[in-house]
Amino acid sequence: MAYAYLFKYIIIGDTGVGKSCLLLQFTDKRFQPVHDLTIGVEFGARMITIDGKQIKLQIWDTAGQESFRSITRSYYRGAAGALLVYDITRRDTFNHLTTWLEDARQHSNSNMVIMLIGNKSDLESRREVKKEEGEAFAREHGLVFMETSAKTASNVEEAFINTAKEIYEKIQEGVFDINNEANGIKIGPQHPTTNSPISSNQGGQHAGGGCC
Amino acid sequence: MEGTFGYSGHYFDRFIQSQDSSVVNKFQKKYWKTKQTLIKVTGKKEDEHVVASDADLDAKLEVFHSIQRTCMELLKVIELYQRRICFLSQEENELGRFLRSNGSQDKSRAGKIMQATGKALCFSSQQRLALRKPLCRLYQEIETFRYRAISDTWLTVNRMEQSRTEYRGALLWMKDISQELDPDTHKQMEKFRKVQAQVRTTKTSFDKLKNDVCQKVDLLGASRCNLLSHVLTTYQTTLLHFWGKTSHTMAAIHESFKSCQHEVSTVKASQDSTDKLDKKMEKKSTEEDMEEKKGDETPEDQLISLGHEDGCEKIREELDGVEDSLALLNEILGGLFVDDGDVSQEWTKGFGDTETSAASGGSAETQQQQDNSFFLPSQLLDQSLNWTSTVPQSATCAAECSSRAEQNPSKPAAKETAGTSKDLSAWFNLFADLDPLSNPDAIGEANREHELHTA
Ligand SMILES: Nc1nc2c(ncn2[C@@H]2O[C@H](COP(=O)(O)OP(=O)(O)O)[C@@H](O)[C@H]2O)c(=O)[nH]1
Ligand SMILES: [Mg+2]
Repeated sequence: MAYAYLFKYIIIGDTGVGKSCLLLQFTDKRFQPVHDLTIGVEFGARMITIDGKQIKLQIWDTAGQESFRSITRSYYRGAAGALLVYDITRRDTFNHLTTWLEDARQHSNSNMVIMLIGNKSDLESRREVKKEEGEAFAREHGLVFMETSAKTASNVEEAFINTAKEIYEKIQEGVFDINNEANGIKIGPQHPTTNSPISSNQGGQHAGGGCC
Repeated sequence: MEGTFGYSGHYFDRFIQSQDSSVVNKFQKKYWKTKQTLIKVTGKKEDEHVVASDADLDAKLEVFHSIQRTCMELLKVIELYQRRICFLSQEENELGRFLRSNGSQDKSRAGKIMQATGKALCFSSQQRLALRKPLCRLYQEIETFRYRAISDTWLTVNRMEQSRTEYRGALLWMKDISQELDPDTHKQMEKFRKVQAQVRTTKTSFDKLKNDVCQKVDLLGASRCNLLSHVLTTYQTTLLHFWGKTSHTMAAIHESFKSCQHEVSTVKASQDSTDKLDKKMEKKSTEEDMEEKKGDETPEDQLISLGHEDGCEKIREELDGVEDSLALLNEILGGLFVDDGDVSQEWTKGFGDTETSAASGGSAETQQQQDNSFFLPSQLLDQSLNWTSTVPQSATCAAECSSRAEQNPSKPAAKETAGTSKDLSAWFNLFADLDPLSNPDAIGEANREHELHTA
C-alpha cells in the first residue's frame, strides 16, 4: 500500500466506448465482453512505478449516459489526469469529443493531463474514425493521443502509464502543487513532504527532488 | 483518513449502520423522491441532461396525449355528426311528407310532381339513416379503444411516471453524495454503494417502463390506424351506397322533369334550378352533368339555386341554431361556391324587394290558387317557416309533375300537358312577381358567380 504519490484519474466519454473495459484490462488484465452499465462511477486502483517511485493510480470510471452528466461533473474535481475515450467504430462518439472536452476543461483544474483514446482498435474492419482524425483532434486541443483495445490489451498499459508520466513530469516541472489535493495528487503517507507545511510550487519541486 | 479509525471503530460503525440502515434508507429514499416530486410539481427547472436523456420518451408521451385527445374529439364529432344526420333526415322526411300530402290534394300534374318528389325525399331521408350504423360502430370501436387500449397505456404511463420520479430522486441523491466522494474512505463508499444500488434498481425499473411506454404508444398508434381504416371503409361503402341510391332516384325525377321542359318553356328556370339543387344536395354529380349544366345554365338558374341553398341553410339554422351546419354545407359545396356568402346576401336583398311586391301585388292570384288548393310559395310567407323554403318546394312541384307524367304513360299526354300548362301559367304569373331574376343587380352578381365557377 505504500506509495510515493497517488494520482486521481477520471475516464470520460460516451457510453459504450469501452471505459469500464479499459479499466478492467488495466487493473485486472482481463476483458469482459459484457460489462454492467456503469451507475454514476466505479473505482479502480493500481500501483505503477515511474522513475523508481511507486505511484498509486486511483481511477474513476464514470458513467457515460447523459442522465449522469451532472453527477459525473462533480468527479472531475481533483483529477490529475483524464482519459477521454471514443470508439473508433462509432463516429458519433468521436463527434461528441468537443462537448466532453469542454465539460472537462470547465470542471477540472487547468493542469489536468488529458489523454485522448480511440478504443476498440481491434475492430479494424468496422472502423469509422481514422487514426489521423484522432491525431489531428489531439494536436488541435493539446492532448496526448493513442489508439487502444481493451479486448487485446493493446496500448492499454501505455495509455494509463504515459498519462502518469506526463503528470509526473508536471510535478517535476513544478506545474502541479502536490500539497493541494484539488490537483488530484496526494503524497504517500510516509513521504517526507507529508509533514511539510509549505504549500507552494516549491513544495512540489521539493517532493520531486526528494524522489530522485 | 480511515487509518485513524481502528478496526473496532469500523465494525462499530458498520454495526450501527446495519442496525438502522433499513429505516434510514427508507427515510432517505422517501426524502429524495419527495424532493424530486416537489421539483416536478413546482415546475422548478430540472437537470437539463436528465430531461434531455428522456427526450424520446417525452416525444412518445406527446403522441400518446395526442391520441387520447383526438379520440375524444372524434367521439364528440361522431356524436354530433350522427345527430345532424338525424335532424337532416327528419327535415327531409317532413318536407317529403309535406309535399306528398299537398301533392295528393292537387289532382293536377303539379300535384303529381310534388308527390313524386316528396316520395323521393322520404326515401332519401330513410336511406340516409343507414349511415348511422357504421357511425355507431365507429363510435363503439373508439369507445372500446379508449377503455381498453388507451386506459391500459395510461396505466403504464402512470407507473412509468412514478418510476421516473423515483429514478430522478435517486439521481438527485447520488449527485448530492457525489459532491464529496473519496473511494479510500470506507464510510463514504458505503453510503455511495447504497445510493448506487438505489439508482440501479430505480433505473432498471424506469428503463423497463420507459420501453414499455414507447412500445405501447407505437402499438396504440398503429392499432388506431388499423381500427379507423377498417371501420371507415364500412362507413364509406354505406355512404357511397346512399348517395348512389339517392342520386339515382333524383336523376330519374330530373329525367322526367326534362320532358316537361319542352312542353312548358317557362318552367325551365325553376326546373333547372331544382335539378341543380338536387344535385347539390346529393353532392354527387357526374362530370358529364356538370358540363351539361354549365352549358345551358343561365345566370338566373344560378341565382335560384343559390336561393335554395340559402333557404336550406336558414331552415337548418333555425332548427338547431348551430352555425356549424352552414360551414359544413359550405364545405360540401366548397368548390362550387367560392363566394356564396356574398351572393346569398345579394340574393336576399333582391328577393327581399320582390317579397313585398309578391305579398301585395300577387294577392289576387294567391287567393285563386288557394281556392284550387294549389300550393303556393306565398302561402308560406306568413308562416313561421322561412320564405326561402317555399322556393324549392314549389320548384320541386314542377319536377314531380313531369316525373308523374312519365310514370303514367297511359294517361293522354296532351290532356295532361294542357292542364299543367294552365295551372302552371297562373302559378308562374305569381312567380313572375316574385321573380328575383328581374333584379339586375342580382343577375350581375350571378354572372360574376358563374364566371367564378367556370374559371
Ligand atoms: N471489440 C472490442 N470491444 C470492446 C472494447 N472495449 C469495450 N468493448 C465492448 O464495448 C461494450 C461497452 O464497453 P463498456 O466498457 O461497458 O463501455 P463504457 O460504457 O464506456 O464503460 C462492451 O460490450 C465491451 O465488450 C474493445 O477494445 N474491443
Ligand atoms: Mg462503463
